[in-house]
Amino acid sequence: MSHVTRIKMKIKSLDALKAAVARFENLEWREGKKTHNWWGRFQGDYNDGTIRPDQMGKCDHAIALTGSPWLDHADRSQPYEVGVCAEPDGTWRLQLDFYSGGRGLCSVVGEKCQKLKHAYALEYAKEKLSTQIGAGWRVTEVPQEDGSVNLEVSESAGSIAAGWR
Amino acid sequence: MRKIIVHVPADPEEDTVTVTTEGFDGPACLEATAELERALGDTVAEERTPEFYERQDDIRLAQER
Repeated sequence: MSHVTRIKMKIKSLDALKAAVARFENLEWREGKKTHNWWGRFQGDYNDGTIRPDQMGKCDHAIALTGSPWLDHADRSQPYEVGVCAEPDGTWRLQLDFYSGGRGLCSVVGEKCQKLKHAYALEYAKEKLSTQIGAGWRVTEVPQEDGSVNLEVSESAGSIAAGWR
Repeated sequence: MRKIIVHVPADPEEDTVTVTTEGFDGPACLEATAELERALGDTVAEERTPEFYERQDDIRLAQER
């Protein structure tokens, strides 16, 4: 082992986010959907300060449980959706209402979208690796017992490693 | 065999991933992953392992002989 680097990721690639959604059998991408289903009205309770109340429920795209209704207004009786929101710095923010388990959504994506972010991190890292590794290298996805995943990039046996582009 | 491992935790704490290298000679590991690390996001911590320095020592000793 030579060095270890810890990196904080932001969501920069919608392609990788769409690929992450595709990893879930029960999620679908909703291109251009400008609202995401939630409770519908800010109750003055939970807010970490990163979202203004007037931004709640608004988005640029949405991620939903497969087959749930495509609504243009909040309906508390239906599964909530993840809002994908453009940030001024060109990155994307995920927001969801986790009250009452997001009406079934949180069991799939995680209460803080951690399962979705995990899938995104994998897809984004694979996307970047695919553009940077040269001939003679291969990428293998290795699931670990704790649910984490290692993307292992190694020189293929018997080949001459061309190194990094 | 040289290897690079991108570790994605099951529950990404603060949305972080870890990049680890194995089998590179000294600073070559830093060059190999610099572009990848920039592409992935902002580096919050970096640790050079004993092997990083051992291999540098090996190279220096070989050059001195």
